[in-house]
Amino acid sequence: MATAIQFAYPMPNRQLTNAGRAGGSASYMRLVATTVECAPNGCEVVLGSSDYAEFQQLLQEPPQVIPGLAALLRQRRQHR
Amino acid sequence: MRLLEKGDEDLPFVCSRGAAQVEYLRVHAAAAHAADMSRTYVLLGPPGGPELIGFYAICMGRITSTDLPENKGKKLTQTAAPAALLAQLARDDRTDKGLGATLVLDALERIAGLADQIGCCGTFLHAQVPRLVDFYQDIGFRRIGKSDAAHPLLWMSMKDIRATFAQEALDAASEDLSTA
Repeated sequence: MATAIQFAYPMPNRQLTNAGRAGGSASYMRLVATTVECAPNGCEVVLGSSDYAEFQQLLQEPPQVIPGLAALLRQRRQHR
Repeated sequence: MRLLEKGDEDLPFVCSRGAAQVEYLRVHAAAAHAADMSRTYVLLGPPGGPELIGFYAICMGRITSTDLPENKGKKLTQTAAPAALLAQLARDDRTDKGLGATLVLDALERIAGLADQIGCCGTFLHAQVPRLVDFYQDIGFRRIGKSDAAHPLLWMSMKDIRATFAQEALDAASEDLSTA
């Protein structure tokens, strides 16, 4: 099943403006304005069941050193 | 690297391929910070160059599924995973390309520290453009799902981050001993 990314707070600025014209409350609009722009795709990801199972599999794998990250750390140490 | 301070949003910052990130810095970062929605960290450059050379923003998020069959959901260890979201990241065009990796590394170290105090299974992000998928995968983020989503979900597990930092600490200690 395809990955579905849910936009947790999907109201773009254009709609925010419309909400203002429609008389939306200032506090609500402030909340939306700050929440929307923290992350372009929202803070919650909703996966399809097969993708979520794949994700769970990753969580259950034994810990392993990440080669790319390890290389970055080594590079930084050698430049100090 | 330090937390965003008043006035940082007005510092010169050029990021031709990150208009959304620049807008975030200029318009939303301070408000998101004040509302405890996210934390933005900025990296200042040495004298003589651009003052603000990079930044990133992090917040908490979660990964879940809404269409798990009831029996399958019970077999899984959990039906929602709390995780840190690397929400924004950008470097000034006039800086070295390696600065992006430096910013990611700082974010991962910060998130790993937080994960000792709050439930956090890992960190994730949405790659906004295709070239960034390769950048993050080279560091070790893993793409979740086979879909061609416009903004692929990239993931790094906390247990792997910890294992890597632990290995680095051992290597550094070993190096110190060998040069002592």
